[in-house]
Amino acid sequence: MRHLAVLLLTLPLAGCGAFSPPEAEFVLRAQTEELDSKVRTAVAKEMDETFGTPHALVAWLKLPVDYGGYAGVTRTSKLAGKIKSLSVRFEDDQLAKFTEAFADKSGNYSFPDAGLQLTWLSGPLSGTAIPVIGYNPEKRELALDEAIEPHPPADTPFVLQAGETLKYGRRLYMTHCMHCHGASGDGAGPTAKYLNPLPRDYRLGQFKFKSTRTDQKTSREDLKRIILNGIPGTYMPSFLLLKEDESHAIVEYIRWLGMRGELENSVVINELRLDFSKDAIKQRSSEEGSETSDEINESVSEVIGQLPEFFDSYGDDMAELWAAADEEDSLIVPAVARIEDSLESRVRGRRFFLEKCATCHGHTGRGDGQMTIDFQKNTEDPAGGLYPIPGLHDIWGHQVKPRNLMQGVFRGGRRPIDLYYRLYGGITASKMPAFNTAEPELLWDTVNYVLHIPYETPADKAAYKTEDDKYEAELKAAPPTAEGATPPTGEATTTGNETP
Amino acid sequence: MSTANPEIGAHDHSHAHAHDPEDRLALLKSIFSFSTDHKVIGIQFLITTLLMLMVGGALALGVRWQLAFPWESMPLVGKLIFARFGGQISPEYYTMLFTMHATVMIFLVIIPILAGAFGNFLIPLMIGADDMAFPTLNMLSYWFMWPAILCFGLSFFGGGGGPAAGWTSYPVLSAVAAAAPGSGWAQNWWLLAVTFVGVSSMMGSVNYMTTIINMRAPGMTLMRMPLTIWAMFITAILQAFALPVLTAAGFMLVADRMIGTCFFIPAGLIINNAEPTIGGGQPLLWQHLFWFYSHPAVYIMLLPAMGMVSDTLACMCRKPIFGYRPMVYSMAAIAGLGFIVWGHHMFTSGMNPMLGMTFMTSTIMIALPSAVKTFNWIGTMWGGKLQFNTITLNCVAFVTMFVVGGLSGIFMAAVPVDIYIHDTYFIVAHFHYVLFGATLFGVFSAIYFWYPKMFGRKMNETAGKWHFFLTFLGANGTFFPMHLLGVAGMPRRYADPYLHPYLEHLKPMNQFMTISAIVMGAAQIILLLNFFISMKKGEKVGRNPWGANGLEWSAPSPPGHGNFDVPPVCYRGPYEYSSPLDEERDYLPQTEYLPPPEKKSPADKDPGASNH
Amino acid sequence: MRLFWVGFFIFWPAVAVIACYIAPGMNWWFPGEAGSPIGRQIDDLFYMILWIVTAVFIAVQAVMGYVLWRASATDNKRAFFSHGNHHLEVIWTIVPAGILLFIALYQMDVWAHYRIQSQYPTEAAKAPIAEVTARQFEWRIRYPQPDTKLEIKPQKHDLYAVNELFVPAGRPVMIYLRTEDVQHSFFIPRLRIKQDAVPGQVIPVWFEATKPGEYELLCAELCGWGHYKMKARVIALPEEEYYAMIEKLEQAQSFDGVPAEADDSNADE
Repeated sequence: MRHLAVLLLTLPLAGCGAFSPPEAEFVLRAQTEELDSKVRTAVAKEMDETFGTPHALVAWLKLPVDYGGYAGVTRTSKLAGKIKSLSVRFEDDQLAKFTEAFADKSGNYSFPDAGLQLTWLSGPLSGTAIPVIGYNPEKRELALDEAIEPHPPADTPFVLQAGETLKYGRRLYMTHCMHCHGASGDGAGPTAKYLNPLPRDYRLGQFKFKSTRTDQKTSREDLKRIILNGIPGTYMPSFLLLKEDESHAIVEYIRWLGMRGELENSVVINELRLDFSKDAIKQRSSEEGSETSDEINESVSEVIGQLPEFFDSYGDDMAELWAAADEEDSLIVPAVARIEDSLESRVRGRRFFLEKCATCHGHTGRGDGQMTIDFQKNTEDPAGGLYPIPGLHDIWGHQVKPRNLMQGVFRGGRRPIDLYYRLYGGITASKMPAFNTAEPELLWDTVNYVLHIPYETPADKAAYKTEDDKYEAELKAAPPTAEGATPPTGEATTTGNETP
Repeated sequence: MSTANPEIGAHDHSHAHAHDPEDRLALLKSIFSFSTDHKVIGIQFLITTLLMLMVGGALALGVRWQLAFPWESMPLVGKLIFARFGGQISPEYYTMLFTMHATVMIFLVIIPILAGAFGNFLIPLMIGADDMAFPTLNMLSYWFMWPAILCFGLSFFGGGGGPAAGWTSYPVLSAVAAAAPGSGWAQNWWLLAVTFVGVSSMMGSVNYMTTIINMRAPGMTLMRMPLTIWAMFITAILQAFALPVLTAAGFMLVADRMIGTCFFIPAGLIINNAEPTIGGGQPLLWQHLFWFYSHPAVYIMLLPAMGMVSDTLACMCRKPIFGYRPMVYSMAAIAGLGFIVWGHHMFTSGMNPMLGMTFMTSTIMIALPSAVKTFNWIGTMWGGKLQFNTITLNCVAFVTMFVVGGLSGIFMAAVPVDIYIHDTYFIVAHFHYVLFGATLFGVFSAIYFWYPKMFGRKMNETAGKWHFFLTFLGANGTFFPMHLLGVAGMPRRYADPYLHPYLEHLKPMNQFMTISAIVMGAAQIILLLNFFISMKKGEKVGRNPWGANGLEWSAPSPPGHGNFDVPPVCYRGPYEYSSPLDEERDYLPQTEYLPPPEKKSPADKDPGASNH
Repeated sequence: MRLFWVGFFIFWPAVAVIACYIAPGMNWWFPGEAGSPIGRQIDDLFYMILWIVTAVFIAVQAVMGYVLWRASATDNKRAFFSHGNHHLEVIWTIVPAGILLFIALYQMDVWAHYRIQSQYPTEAAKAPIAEVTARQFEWRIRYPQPDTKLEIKPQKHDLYAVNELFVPAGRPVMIYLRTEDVQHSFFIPRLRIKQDAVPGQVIPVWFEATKPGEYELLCAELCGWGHYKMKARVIALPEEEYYAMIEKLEQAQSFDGVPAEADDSNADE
């Protein structure tokens, strides 16, 4: 069993049996839709098997997602006939969670009326589920609603209420998030088209505002911060009043959607698009001396046969990355504490800003740097094409404006550390470069300067002016050899493994 | 009152011209024509508005569905538009639903069904004129409804499912396209449509005023006019004075949206990440202008129904209306006070708080004429002789539901209490009791009452009773719990109130209300069927099936072109039922001449209503 | 049929009255006790109107039921011929007028106390505690740095929060209410407070939470598709805890990502 299929409850049908409600769909990426129809169908099927549909989610245990539920194993191997109770063993943490969820103060367990679903992970009944109606903590026995046969041997793993968190996340997501972010997390819900900026499309597995190093994924903590605090200056509102378990479930579901899209994306982009898109097939068959239809068909069935392998191997890589994001050493920790905010510090920070940031953010921080007019190269396009309109673009292909720092609105948060994260880690998704090789003190100076931009006084301006004059005088004295502004993408993806 | 006067129908029937099959066909044909005959225009209005009633009702059911079963697949719509999202409607679609529900109901149903349909049909007949003063203008007033309907229809396709700023269209939400996502062109169409409705109403009201002042039959003094005519007259005046303000405001808003004026947009607002607005305008200005029209409009939506109920009730009770003059004066008082209470919609809006006190006093005092009218209706029923036919039932329902709507108004007239209940479901309950509970039941009674005059046949009584029964239960089941929701603090216009834990427990109540609303909606199908089938199958009647006094009953049913075969002369007030002057019948038509009594009339207490 | 219909018209007011009577027990009533003195006054006024209105409602419906019963009698008597009664008209004009005037005048004080500027609680008006900015679709809150005054213009060391407004309990507090985009309305149901946030205006609003606790804060004026999403809360804290909370907020806001090894006091350095 490569996948563990977990069937989840369908949305309750309310009233009106005559109108069978339509089901929400996971949509495929545009690149997948462009594949040859056979390959496309195979990918769609593979996606369905791996991730399910919004109404019947599938938990792929390989992914670092907390699907929820309480895992345990059977204890005895009593093989005689039908039995209605199971002796089981939970790990301590699972038992604690289980107890907290279902036990009252005196230690009696009570379950909802329908009982809990127990899903076997291996053994003779693997993949099937049975209802459990009680738990006896002394005997450590689960009471079953109906007898089972054959009895699974000792140490057979099972999960109670498998996928509970993911299901809960799905439900909350459909209420709170779906209208903008879409049922598939594609950022194309019914309301999305009216919003500026557009809602995030999770399916590249990338998020803008994170506290992890440049090349790393977003941590759970980061996503939770965004959900609770919202993103000022956009239509992403704050969901501060979500309960702890609610925000956790939503975060898990969003990560899961992100991984789902990312896996599809990497398989299609890296393995399929080049040879099996409709255009490619057409080209392969039409060109002189090219392949016959038999050859093409053969390669198609071959690649279809390889799909599970692709999913597996790309899944492994991806799972590792996502898991690493939550490791402690992924978090950016400044090497030095914040430099005291003073005029001198800001003057130093301003110099850094003028050298590094002004090309995009403009000399006064109004977000009107030269790059917003000049830059047009599509760095996502292997052929190096141009975007239809000049300006900076993010990896989703939308034009992005460098932040106008005069407004004092900081989308990723306004704490000094938030700005430090942006400077040190960059914003990979919108191609703000990472300045992780700069002196941390200098970065703090820059943070101080940026935070002060909306509140500049005449005194500040005078000090800046003096510094400018001094700087120019020095330049004249020793003509520089440094080249001009660096394009914003050059160092964007430099890895930041420098230990603070 | 067929049992009381079985002979009337038979007697009058001989008078009616024997113009049966082809004439009825002619009538149906004329419905689709640019007729200048006030009766045809009235019937055109009536049929259009009844169909629009169904549209508005369907929109309301959409709203109710979402409130009862939030984010669950909405029947029909879910499958047609939102299939990809599991049938879940989007929040802006919900906003559109309630915006368009209110818009359709107010601008395409209630205002035109009262002034347009009944005003047109009844005014010339009741005052004894052969037509309106300006027949062509009258025709235009109907045909200007169609551009309005078209524009409202177009607004559904103007992006985002339709206009989404509520029927009140408060700027800045309605003025900056980015603020109500997707309302781009939808809002423009909406404003244009409202302007067309305004043009239509204005043509009507000029016409009504002129007709009523100039074209009354000989003997029809002002104080002998039926209360329906008084109501229409006062309504027309209200409309003529209030409407220009709305039209002007509408144009200003269109200008704000389309050519960049900033009447209602202050500076420096950052909406949907666009450039900050450059404004200098004042959003409160719109509220003042809008409510300066829309509060009087509330009475435009109520007074004609009050007038018509006064007529039908008196006839059904076989009794003169109790206190004719107080009835007229209180209508005038309502209209007059109606102009100086608009601020009560803005108690929490940041208007000068001192004004709040003034508006509170005037608003509370407007309850007084309403109370007087209620007491007079009860006085009319007292000692009457009535039967529970469909007309009576709808009249009584009008009174009893108006009482609730009137009394709940006192809560929100009181400013401090209004701080809490403003923009909650309490308000929704209040105006539904007035607009649905009172106005529509009044309209229903009027439809049943004057239907024989329109088509020469009666509507089916059994179907009418079922319609009434289900509508009444459905209406109260839907609207009464809204008071409780309001007190529980549930705000209006929430797509999903249950996000807020303190409202979670109200879901079962909302589900109950939705079921009631479905019952109520289904009942209107009975009305429609009854209305159309009775045109062909209804019991044939003569000129005066109810034994009523008004001039209209002396004309043939349906009246031919020019209305009256004998030019009517009016000898007395319209409410001389059970008069001792006539021992045989319990009614005394306005047109019948009686020689002056030798003895003093015993019923000469109220000089205005009596003959002399 | 006569009995049925008269019963029908008596039946529904009875159901309505019963529904209102059992409503508080069924939790279909105010969301909890009013949490502020002004709220309690508003509730009292509400109940006063409710009693008057209920009395009128029952009287009118009962009289109407009786009148209907009498009028629908199946005897052969003719209807009573009357055009009205002047004395009755005078009575039922003067009496309701008196009651209505009383209601109107009785309300004035509370309104004046709540909204008229000269009646604002002086202490609260002198030092507004925060600026609440509504935007689509959340509440952004700006506190002054401890020991400074709230300025209309944002200051560098202001503290920012979202969807959570901390206030000291047991004394009137004032906030400045404004909006960044369209019109919103600041509604705290349990404190019975509502004030629209009008674009282009800064509106002072004062309120008092008598007891510490959490109070829902939501938007009551249609502000776009996400109107229902503006879910926030006001947290009233005892004076000490309130200041501690603001301190904590200040520290969180100046967090620089370096785990404080010594203690919280020098996290700022």
